[in-house]
Amino acid sequence: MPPLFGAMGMSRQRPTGGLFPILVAPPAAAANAMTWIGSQTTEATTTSTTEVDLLSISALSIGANTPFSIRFMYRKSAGAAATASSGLKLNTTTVEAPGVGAIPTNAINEVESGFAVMHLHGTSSPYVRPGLIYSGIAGVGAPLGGNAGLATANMPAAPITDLVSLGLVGNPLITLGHDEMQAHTLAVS
Amino acid sequence: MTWVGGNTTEATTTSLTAVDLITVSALSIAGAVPFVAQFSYRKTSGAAALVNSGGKVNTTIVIAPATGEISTGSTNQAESGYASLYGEGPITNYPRSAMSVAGAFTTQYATGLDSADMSIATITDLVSDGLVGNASITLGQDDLHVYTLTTS
Repeated sequence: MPPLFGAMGMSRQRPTGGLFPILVAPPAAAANAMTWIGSQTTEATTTSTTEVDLLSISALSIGANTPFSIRFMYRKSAGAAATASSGLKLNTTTVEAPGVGAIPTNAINEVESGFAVMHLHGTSSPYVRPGLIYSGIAGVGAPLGGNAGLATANMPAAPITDLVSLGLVGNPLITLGHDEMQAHTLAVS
Repeated sequence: MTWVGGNTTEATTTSLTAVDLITVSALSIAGAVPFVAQFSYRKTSGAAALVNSGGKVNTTIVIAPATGEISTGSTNQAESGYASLYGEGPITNYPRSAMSVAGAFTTQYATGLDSADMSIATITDLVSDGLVGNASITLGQDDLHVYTLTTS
């Protein structure tokens, strides 16, 4: 026999000393541990051989000691046997410059697409680079991955208001694209 | 983050060729929706050989076990590890919009989808695959869980 009250999302408790059972609601569910804080879902592309801004999410307020994550798709076109490189800027600080290698592509003349994930934490001295970047991309050739900390600069002091993806290409005959950037914060209690 | 499916029954193999191990089906992950899939994996001792894992999206193998992107060491010892697949449902021009990261004992891996594009369609099934390098050892996988992230 199915539980009479459980099926209704309630539980039955008998209070100490009481004469009759009473219906009570179950404890409130925990808040979602991840909260969406912003996105940029319009593709941005570049053929620049020097670093440019691509996707951005602004008007944020990520405080110290707040964990957050950023993810976006990235791709490169065929056209030349060259790489495209991506990076990350927080507020006005480039914390991972394109070309450092955390978000790479192959140098094969082929179409490739992949995904990058960044796990970060609002800074709290002396932890000035609390960030980790994972990426993976592939085309017809060998797959390639990146796995690194923040190589270029310390994260800016909180609050973090702007998240910006960066990119450049090794040859202007190929195009680097970024799309579907999503950002979330994580609960700490 | 919302749990959208899981399979907590361990599957094992001693096959030298790729076989399906754990399946989570009846999903509905549309294009551009962020998702995370993760599972535990292990190998037994019995021979100085590694085990490799991979994954299938719907019916397409996107990470072939044979390429060794989710692997172990080859020392004759028991090892266990963990793998995560981060991605977003694929969209036009971004058919490989996912990447895997894995670690077992002292080995670690991060890579893209090495075997095929994901079809630009709703993701309904995620399947973990695997093989062993020597039939005297066993590959086990367990606790495949899938989550989606909100986008608004």
